[in-house]
Amino acid sequence: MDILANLGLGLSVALSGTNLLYCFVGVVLGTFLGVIPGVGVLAAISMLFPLTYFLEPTTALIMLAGIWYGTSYGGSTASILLNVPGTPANAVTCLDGYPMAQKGRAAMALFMTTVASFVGGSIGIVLLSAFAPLIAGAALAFGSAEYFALMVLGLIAATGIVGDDPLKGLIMVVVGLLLGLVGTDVFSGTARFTLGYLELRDGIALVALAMGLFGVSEVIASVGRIRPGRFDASTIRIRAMVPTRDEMRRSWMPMLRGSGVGAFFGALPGTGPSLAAFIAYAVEKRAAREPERFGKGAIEGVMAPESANNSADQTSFIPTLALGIPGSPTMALMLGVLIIHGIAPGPGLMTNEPALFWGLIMSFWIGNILLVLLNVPLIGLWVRLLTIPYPLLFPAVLMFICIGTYSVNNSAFDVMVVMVFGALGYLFRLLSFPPAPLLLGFVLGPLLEEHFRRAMLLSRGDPMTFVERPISSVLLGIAALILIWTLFNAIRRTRPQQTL
Amino acid sequence: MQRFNIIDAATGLALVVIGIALQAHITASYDLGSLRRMGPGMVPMGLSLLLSGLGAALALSALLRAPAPLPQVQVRPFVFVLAAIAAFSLTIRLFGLVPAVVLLVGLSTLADRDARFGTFLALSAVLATLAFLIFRLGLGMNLPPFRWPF
Repeated sequence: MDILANLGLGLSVALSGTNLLYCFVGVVLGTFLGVIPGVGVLAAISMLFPLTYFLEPTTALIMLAGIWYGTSYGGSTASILLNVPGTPANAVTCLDGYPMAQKGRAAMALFMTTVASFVGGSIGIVLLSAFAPLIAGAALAFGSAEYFALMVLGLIAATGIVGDDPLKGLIMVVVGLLLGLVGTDVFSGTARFTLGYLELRDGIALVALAMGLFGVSEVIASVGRIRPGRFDASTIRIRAMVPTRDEMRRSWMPMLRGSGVGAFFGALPGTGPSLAAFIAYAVEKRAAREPERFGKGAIEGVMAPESANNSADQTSFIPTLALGIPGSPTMALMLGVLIIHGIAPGPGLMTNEPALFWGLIMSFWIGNILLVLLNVPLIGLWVRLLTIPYPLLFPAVLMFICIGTYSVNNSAFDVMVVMVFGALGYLFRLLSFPPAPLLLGFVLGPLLEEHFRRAMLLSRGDPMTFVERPISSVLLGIAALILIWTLFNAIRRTRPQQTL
Repeated sequence: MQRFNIIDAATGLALVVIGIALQAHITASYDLGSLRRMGPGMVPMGLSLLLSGLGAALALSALLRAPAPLPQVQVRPFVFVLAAIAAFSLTIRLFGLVPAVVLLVGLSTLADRDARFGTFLALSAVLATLAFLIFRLGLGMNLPPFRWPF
């Protein structure tokens, strides 16, 4: 079969010395940044993004992807030991993980979350390698109208399902789309919204925007708030990791169900691992025979979300690699790597760049195995990281952000852009506007405009083309349904408050 | 007593104003074109109209929402973190990597209330060395440790 040849090719790419090294670097950095609260995945990836200019695109993606799923492994550590999620995707793990730590079962919980992460990740990888080629095959027939419809669906899904305030999410998408239009118009060559700055002719730098919005605003919000954790590090020993027979028995089904839930929500554009973990926890609580154990240290409540977020980490590559449409801001950065190296993302990627595609997928296996090796014997080391005081950490984070941005184009202007978006990002935080939809809109903005204008040119100015073409009309129909559903829910939620 | 979410109402109105300003700018500066052949102004115009509309919707829906507590602004970190980044941007070309990093570390440690001078000295020494080793020696980037513009 084809697939075996592809997997073989992928394995040979992933096992080459350089790729193996950077896969290792990625997962180590990912675990490191995941363990420390206050440095999210996006901040981590945008901080290291400039390094990828110096690497082959395959190697660069392998490293960034390693950071991406590595943080999900590391993130549960702080959730369990300190009741502070290392990353948003590990927030639910606190609910039962921290009570487990209080009962003295922290080591076992840390071990079992590593197992759950590995199982979830593996199931996600299998589904990714099975479905991505199928979807890419179907998408080869897509024209501009279909691409436009698909991106609209992704943007609506991003605002609707994730945030608790869909209206604010939509506003952020529109702001992002507008920011994405800054620069030279590809059709006419007109410079738009450049405020007279020559530096803005190529558009706002993605890295500068992402670092300001996520990295800097996170630092501002965390300074003076995050204090080093207090816990008994001596309880984290390998001998204390062994689960009892009963704990093992309880873990299997939640782990499998969690992986399934995670895989599904990871593959949908606009959702992602945080939501997947929440839903997996909710499903488990509903399926449980004794739901009252949840929140008091039930192992099911740790296994399900931890397998779900890792499974979602992997399947979120499906829309990204098969369609060239990023389902999350992190995936937008991954696509940015491809674009910078001159590789067009889209359904043709798999056939044009099989070594990149399959190499990346096989590196996920290797990365997941490395993560188990890193997390089980070395857990004591990671745990010590939690005792580093934040005042020592954040100047280093800021330094990496500044040097990283500067070195992309040797541009001091871009560093100022980081500052501007840092301030904006903090403002959005205060007003509780979610920043992730903005980044998604920013990345998709130019693509969306291009496909919209091309489709309209082809239809001679008739907007009905989006409804008349079957695939496009189905996609837009789903988008409309999601929009109506989320707005309806939002209105229903506001009503009761009004009567108070 | 306010009965509604005044923050969201004000934000919504601000968005309406920003949208209108954008529409004025687009009409003045860019060609809208026609549906058949769109100019560079068409899509931005559509989006800015959408922005005004959503802003108005937010302001209206805020009238139905319960008031939220005013957000707590972290003034000190806000000012010093942004100042640190600006200082880096202004000095990196003129004076080189080491002065820029020292300034960045100095201003950003001030963001924390309990900052100590010893922390600043140790941290700037460690980070400047680290930056030089990683970015200059390791990755060979064009980042001279010192420069003198005059």
